[in-house]
Amino acid sequence: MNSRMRLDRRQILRGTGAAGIAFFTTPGLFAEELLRTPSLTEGPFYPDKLPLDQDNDLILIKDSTTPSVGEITHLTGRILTSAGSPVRGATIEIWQCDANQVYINSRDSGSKKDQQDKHFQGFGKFETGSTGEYRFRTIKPVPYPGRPAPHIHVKVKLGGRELLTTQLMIRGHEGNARDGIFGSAGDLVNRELIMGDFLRVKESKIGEYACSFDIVLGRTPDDRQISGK
Amino acid sequence: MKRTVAKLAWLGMITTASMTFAQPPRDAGPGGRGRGPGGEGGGGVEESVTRLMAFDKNNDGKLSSDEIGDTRLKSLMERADANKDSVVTKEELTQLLNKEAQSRPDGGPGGRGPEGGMGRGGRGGPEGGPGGPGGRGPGDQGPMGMRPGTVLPPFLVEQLKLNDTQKISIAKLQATVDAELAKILTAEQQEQMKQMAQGFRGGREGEGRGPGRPEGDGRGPGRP
Repeated sequence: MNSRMRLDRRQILRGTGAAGIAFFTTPGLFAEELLRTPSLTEGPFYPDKLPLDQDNDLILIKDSTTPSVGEITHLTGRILTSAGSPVRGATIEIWQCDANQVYINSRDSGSKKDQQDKHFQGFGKFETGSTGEYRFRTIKPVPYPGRPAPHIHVKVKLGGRELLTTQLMIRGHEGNARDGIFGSAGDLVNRELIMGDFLRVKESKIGEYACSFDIVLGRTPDDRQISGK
Repeated sequence: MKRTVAKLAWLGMITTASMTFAQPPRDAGPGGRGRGPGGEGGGGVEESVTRLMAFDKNNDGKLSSDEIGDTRLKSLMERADANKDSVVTKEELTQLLNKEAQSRPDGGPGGRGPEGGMGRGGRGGPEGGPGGPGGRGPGDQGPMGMRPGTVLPPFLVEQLKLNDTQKISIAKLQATVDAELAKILTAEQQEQMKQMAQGFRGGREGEGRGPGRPEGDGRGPGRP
C-alpha cells in the first residue's frame, strides 16, 4: 500500500512539475502578432449529405439559372497563422441556412421541404492559394429559430485535418447580444474576431453586400508545417 | 535523484499556487455575479484590456494604428477612440469595454443558457474557463483554481492561450491527477477537503468547472 502510494504521488508530482516548468519555458508567448480566431460550436446542421455542387458560389447550383433567395454577399478573406503568414492549401468550408431558415441537413430540411429554398446550395468550399485568400458568393445570413444572431458556419481544414470550426456573425446586428453562441465566444475582444462588416457594394444595382473576414489559426502541432509551405 | 525530481515538482506546484494567489480578482465590479462578458468562459474587462495593451510595443500606454495592425480590431479601436485623435489610451479602452460589457448586465447568455450544448466529453475542464467569481461570501476574492492538485489553473490556461490540443492534454492530465489523488486519499479526507474548499471559496461556482462554453456538439435543438 505504502509503496503504491508513493508511486502514485510521484506520478502526480511529475505531472504537476511538468506543467509548472512548461509555464516558464513556453516560447513565443508574446510574439504572436494576430489574435487567434475563437472556435465556436459546429452546431447540429453540418450537411449530413454533402450536396453535389460544393463550389464557392452558393447562389447558383450547378448549371441552374435561378439564383437563391436572399441578399447576395461576396464573402472574402484570408487564412493566416498567428504570425501573419498566409496558409496555403487550406480548405475552408462554409454552410448556413437559406433565406427561409432551412439548412441542407435532413434533420432540418426533412420537415421543412415546402419552406426550403431549393436554389440555395447551403454549403461550399474553397482551397486557398499562396496568398491564403478565399472567396465565396453566398447570401447574407439570416437569424434561425433559437439563434437571434445571423451567422455563417466556417470550418478550416489542412491536409484533411480540422484546424478550426467557428462562425461568422454580422457586426452591429441587434440579435448578437441575445445570442448564446455569440456570448460563448469569450471576452469582448474575442467577439470582435468573429464578426464581419457586411457592407453594401456601392456599384451594385441589386443591393449586394461584401464582407471581409480574416481567419487566424492558433498554434497547432502542424504549425511549422503550415508556415513552411 | 528521485528526491530532486519530487522537489522540483513541488516547486512547480507551489509556484503555480502562488501565481494563483497573486492573480487579482477577475471581476472587480460590484454585483456578485460575473458581469464579465459571457460570464463563465468569458473574461473580465480588465483581462480584455490587458490582452489589447499587450500590443503597446513602445509602452507609452497608448495604442496606435501601427501597433494594432490587425484590421479585425479596427472597428473596436475606432469605437474606443473617444477623442478621435487616432490613438487609443488604456483609459479610453477601459471605458469602452466597460460600457459594452454593461449593456449585457447579466453577463450574457454565454455558457449558461438552458439551451447550452452538452460540451464534448473531456473538454469540459479547461474549456469551461475560470467560472464566475462565485458568491459574495468570504471566499469571493479567494484563490481561484486552488482546488488541490490543479495542474494548470483556468486563468493560466486562458493567459497562456493554450490551443485546443493542449487543452485536451491538460484535461487528460488533470483527470489522471484527480483519479490518482482520489486513490491516495480516504473518503473522509476527500470530504474534508471538499468542505475546506467550500469554506475557501464561498460557493463552488468559482471552481472553473461551470458549464463553460456551450462548446461541443450543440446537438440540442435550436443551437445551429
